[in-house]
Amino acid sequence: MSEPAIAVQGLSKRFGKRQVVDGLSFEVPTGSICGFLGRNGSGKTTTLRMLMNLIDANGGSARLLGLDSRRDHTRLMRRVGYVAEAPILYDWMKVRELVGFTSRFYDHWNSTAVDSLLRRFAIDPQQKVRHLSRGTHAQLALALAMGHDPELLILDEPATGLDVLVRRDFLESIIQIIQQEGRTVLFSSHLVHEVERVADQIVVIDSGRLLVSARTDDLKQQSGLPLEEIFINLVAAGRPEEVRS
Amino acid sequence: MRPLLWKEMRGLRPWILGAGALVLVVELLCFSPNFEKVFLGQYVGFLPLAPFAAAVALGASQMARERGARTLDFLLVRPVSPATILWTKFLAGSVALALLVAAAAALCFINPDFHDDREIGLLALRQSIRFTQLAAVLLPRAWCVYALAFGFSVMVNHVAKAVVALAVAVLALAGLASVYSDLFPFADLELWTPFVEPFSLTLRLARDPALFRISVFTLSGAALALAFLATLLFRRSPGRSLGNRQLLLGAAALVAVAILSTRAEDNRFPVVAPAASLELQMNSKRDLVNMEASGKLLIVAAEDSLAFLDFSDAHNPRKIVEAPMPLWTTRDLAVSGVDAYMLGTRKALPVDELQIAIATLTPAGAVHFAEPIPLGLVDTAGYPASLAVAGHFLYLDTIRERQCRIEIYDVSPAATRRDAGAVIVETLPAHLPGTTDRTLKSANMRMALRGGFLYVTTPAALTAIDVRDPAAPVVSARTEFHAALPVLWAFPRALASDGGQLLEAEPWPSVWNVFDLADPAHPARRGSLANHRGIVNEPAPVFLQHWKGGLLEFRQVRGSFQALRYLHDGRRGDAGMVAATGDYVYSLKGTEDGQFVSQFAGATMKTSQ
Repeated sequence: MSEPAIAVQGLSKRFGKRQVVDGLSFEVPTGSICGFLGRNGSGKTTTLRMLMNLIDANGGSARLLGLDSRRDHTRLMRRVGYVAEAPILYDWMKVRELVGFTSRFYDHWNSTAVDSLLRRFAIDPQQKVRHLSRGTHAQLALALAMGHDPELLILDEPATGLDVLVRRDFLESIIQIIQQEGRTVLFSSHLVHEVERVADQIVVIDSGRLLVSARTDDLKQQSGLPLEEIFINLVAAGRPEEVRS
Repeated sequence: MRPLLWKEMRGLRPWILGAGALVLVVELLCFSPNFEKVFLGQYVGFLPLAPFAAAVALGASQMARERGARTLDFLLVRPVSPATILWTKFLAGSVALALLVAAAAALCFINPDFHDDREIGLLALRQSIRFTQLAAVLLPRAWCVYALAFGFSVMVNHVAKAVVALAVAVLALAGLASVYSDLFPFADLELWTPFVEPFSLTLRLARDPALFRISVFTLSGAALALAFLATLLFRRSPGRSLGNRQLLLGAAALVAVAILSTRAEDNRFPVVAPAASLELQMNSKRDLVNMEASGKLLIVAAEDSLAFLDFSDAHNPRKIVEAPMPLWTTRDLAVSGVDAYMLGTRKALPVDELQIAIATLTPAGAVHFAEPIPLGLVDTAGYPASLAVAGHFLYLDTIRERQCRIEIYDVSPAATRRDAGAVIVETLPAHLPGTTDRTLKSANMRMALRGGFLYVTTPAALTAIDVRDPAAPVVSARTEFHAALPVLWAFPRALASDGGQLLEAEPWPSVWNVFDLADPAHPARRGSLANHRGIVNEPAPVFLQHWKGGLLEFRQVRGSFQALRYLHDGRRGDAGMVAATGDYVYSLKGTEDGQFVSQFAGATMKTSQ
């Protein structure tokens, strides 16, 4: 069996006296689309930021693509794409400048794919970033995260703030991307139906603790319930489910 | 690194353009003579502050702006190490800072033709150093401050927090430096602290290549070390800010250092309390002019009265008598025993007269005025400056018809003729470089009497005059003097004798020139001592400096003058006039409760003007 794209072991984070993430462990198989589910404030963003080494963990470890997320940070960033929740870009740059600036960090840059995404999202390369709408910001950030053909894409609430049509288009983009062999996507959301449409793997957390990590189909088959009801039951019970993939 | 450098330089473009625009705008504004005079006159005083303020703002804003806009995450998820991000920012910031410092220095040279003889600082600076030297002196210090601010901004994520912490740090360290600098054993500390940048220090560094090199290497090294520390702190905790509690503790520690530093003098120097103290109540309502001591007798001259104070009984000092001097304005005072000699003007019609008044304290405690010595009418008698007295002879330095003269008067009671002799020390040139006729009036000579010799400083020489026969004074030696800066041509050079040596205060570079008096007729130049007080043009006694309401007494320590004792009467208020004899120092201080004269015993340094 190949090494998982993401392997999290006992990850913890505390802000002051508040335990935000508490001994979190899960794995995401290579090539899967994994939905990272949880209520607002359940610790999803903190977990993803720890995976990206944007904040230090108080305990535990995270391996991405077989590399340690802290020790091998620079090497890892060549192979991972990340889109933050409400991504902030250099708004004084033009889109074209921002793309050029980002591309110079990487040895390999797929200009064709980026240009194609920009066209698809109808983003004018000559436009200043500050003049883009919030949704277009997110789309531009996704295009930039895709430029170096990452093996792993981590998206933090990527569809937040997008209207229904744009959100659907956005998620379809992700699906198209994942169809390319070997790519893995981990994306967080609190909207279960959204995850259910695209994710073949889900990880559910609440109050920083793991509730379930399983294949979506297995979970639905075992319980015989739609994913939304499973999610509600899990959160209401507040205890780890026995189901494991 | 290249894309990062491109982004940083683009981000700092407003700073760089701002520096250029500032120079351009000031250049344009200088077409207005009023602005030029006000701005350039004041700017030298602010010059050291300008690059430091820019350095703090630049260093604090670079990372804080990135954090505030939340764009830092964008960089941290790229395949580049946090250290590279920081070093690139530091490099770009340093380039911008160099341009800002160059702009700040350029403002001093913005109009080479600007000349106002009241603005000695700007002229002295221009005549001392070139633009490149000034920028080279300022840059390492500003760089160090920038690195410190940069380090702070790495630890915090809010501009306000960084600014507050920095302000406290700068204040604390500046306070520390200002307390310790120039004081033994902390003399020269200011050379190594980037936070205090006295104007005289800038010039001193620019003119001393060895000191300049050491200073540059030390401060540049400190800047790089701070930047390195910043990368370590940043890498250890990327994206996380220092908590409020730590910031608060850090700020509290710095405040404590600042408070402690202001009290440091209590621990650094032996405090000498006064042996006696007297509340001085003068009948005259006009200003006090001078105070001279003769052993335990102290004579205080107001513009129109003269008071004799007796300090022989330390438990009961008293005012013996105060004699009014109507229609009289005293300019200077000299004392010998119980005799007081006052240079001043007497009201007369049609023109006031210059005179030397002679007053004697009688055994009965009254004041007897002898016949004054007339010097001529105010408009024609030249510019007499000061008096010195030895035995029955009185010495007056004066400039009359461009001649620097010493006039000697016999003041013995039996003398039938007062003017005993005169000697011309120097003839001033018709054209006075770097000065005006107004300066000539204050082109003070200075005198020091020692044994049978009188030593006189004039603009172009130090002259030794043999006055063992006062009726026939003879110039025994003359040492040429060339002012380092034309603007300082007419600055007085105070004299003091200390043991077997004569000390001449040279205004720039601020040193004491030491002359060996083994042969008193021919003072031999033996070298110079560092004097950290800057340009010296204060009246004697030169080894006592006003400091924090008291007096610091200086001594010659390892080739420079350093403060060793602190004379303080315990009252709040600024010390005013000072008089010193071989054994006693007297200080007159005005407080809310009145004027107090204190006698300090044990001062051993002999001083004279």
